[in-house]
Amino acid sequence: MSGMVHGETRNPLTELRRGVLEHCVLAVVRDRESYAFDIVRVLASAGELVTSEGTIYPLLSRLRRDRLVTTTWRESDAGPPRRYYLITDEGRRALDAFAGDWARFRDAVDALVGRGTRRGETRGG
Amino acid sequence: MDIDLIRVLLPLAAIAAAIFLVVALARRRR
Amino acid sequence: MEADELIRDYIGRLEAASWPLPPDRRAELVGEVREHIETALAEAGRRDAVTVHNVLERLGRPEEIVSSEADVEPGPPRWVDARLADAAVSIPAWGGLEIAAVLLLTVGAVLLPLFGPALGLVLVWLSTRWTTREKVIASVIVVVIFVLPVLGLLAVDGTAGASSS
Repeated sequence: MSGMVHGETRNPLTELRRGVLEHCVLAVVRDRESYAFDIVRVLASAGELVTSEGTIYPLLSRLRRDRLVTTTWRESDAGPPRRYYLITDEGRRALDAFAGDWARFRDAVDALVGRGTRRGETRGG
Repeated sequence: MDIDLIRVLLPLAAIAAAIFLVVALARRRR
Repeated sequence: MEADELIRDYIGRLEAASWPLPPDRRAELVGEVREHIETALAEAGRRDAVTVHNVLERLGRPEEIVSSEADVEPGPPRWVDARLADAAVSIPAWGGLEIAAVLLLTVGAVLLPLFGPALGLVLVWLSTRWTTREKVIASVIVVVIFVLPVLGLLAVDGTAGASSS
């Protein structure tokens, strides 16, 4: 990940989180409609996924733009109407593809990094 | 007379509904 | 009240930080974040400075939120242009369907009596941008202002002069 510096140093986990987070959001809205705050809440309770909850909103905007989710406005008891998100067929395909990629990626990283701290053994840049 | 009433009422009704709908969407940006 | 000041300050920073965004998207993002804050405070049931501070902390820095809008190559100058060039970033409140529905209900009510507004109402119901309740209210408005008096006239006069198409 060290090639990604453009005037701002990025923690490798930041890039990884961003790519993964999109698909986690898709997973949240795969089986049932959710509104934004609900999605944030589910992600936050799942673990160390979201460092900045506000970044979910640009992410949702991208998912809408890429037509991986659809939205419907619904009335809510607690005030103004809310936007509810639901996965699309294209979103399902993306999620399934990601699930496979992620499993392979995770296993590969675990196999390498999970070897423990053998300092002499680096694999180049 | 009836036809005139209808000619007035229908646009009135439709425009009233349109105003409501426009305001509903304008409110989204709050 | 201090809580509201904190929120105003945060939103101000968000608006300032989001200058590279298209105006539509900027307004939308600010609205979404505002709603997030209000929902979070409503759930917490409190509105004191400490709670607000926590909510804002969890939201993250406005600059970070805005920088995650740019999903293209990272780098301050280039992603601004890329973003501005990408017209499809935000989905505004109004789509083609909604515009057509409103036009049919207004201009269409005059130019295409009965058919225009009827079609406009159909489009309203097809839209995903109005809630069902809003659609019902709009339909009720049309029914009350137009259909009921017409039915009333029919009942009183007993004539069939109501069919205007």
